[in-house]
Amino acid sequence: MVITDEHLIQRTLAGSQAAFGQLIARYQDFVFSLCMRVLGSREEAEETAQDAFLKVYHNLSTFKQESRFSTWLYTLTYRTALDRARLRKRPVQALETDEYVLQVEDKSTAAPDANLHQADLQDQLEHAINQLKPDAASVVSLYYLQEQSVKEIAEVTGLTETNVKTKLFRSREALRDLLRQSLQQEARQMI
Amino acid sequence: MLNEKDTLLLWRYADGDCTEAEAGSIRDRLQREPGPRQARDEIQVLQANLQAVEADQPSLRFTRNVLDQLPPATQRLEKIRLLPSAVIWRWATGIGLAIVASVMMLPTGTVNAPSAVGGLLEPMEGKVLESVSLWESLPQTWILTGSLALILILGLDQILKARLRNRHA
Repeated sequence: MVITDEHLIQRTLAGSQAAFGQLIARYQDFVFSLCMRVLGSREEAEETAQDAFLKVYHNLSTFKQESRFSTWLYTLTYRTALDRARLRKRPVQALETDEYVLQVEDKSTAAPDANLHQADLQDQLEHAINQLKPDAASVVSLYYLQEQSVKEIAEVTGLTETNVKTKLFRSREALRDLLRQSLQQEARQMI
Repeated sequence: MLNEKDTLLLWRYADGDCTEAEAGSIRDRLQREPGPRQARDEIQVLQANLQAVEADQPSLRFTRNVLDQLPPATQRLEKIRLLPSAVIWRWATGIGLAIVASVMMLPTGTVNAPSAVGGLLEPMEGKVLESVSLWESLPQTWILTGSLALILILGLDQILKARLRNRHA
């Protein structure tokens, strides 16, 4: 039997730590990933994710169930991560559609028998996502990993739906260009 | 090479977010032109890879670290009562016994003793009758009042506990 978020929330509000522990376990990877997209550092992301869950706990009685619990959770997480990023003024490298700053290996000097396997492609894709600006990386992550709709992403990030669609489009095009380059590289090596 | 508008439409098509007319137009172009087909293939591969991206994982102690930072008072609230359980149970036991005794002494207050032991119990009969008259002299409302008081105390206990929990939340 699947225990719903609502059930765990009610039990947490009734004083059950175990129920809150189950909520944490359910969402910790997604919360941590979102913090990684914004902050780029494991240590900071983990501290921020913990802070986010503590905020959730202290404000759980204010959750009105007008949206999904996950959306409310990611909204708190995103704002906590942004506050942390502003404090340290993290410098970010931007991956723009018309100007590439790609931290990828130069395959032209690789060994002749080096192939770009699916795992490498996946790694490069994740690395490229992390090179996007925090808001763009967050939008991509929220859409594909946390499976939020455009409307929910707008609620989480505070952007308009139009902005979310634009960022999603531009980020995906940047990633598609990277993918095309990698596939072309692979094709050249196979010839 | 597709322009931005066409590329955006292809993405909306891949997301299932375009009208039937737009979808029809895209399908026509995909059949006729290689450019959109190549873009569609790249988008499909990218979509598949994006959907396969896995979440990063925090340390193994993450959940424990969060739970350890919860306010200590909240951890105790699961078990404490504002009134000690012993007090509540003494009240409940006393009132319960009083109710049982009242019921047993009704309606005339006489104790029926088996004839075989009647002789042994006869000296006690006077004392029993005295006790019965004492019970009968007690206003029945006292017992009712005591029961209501117990209910009020239990209810107050729950209300105050809930308020204390909310204050710490």
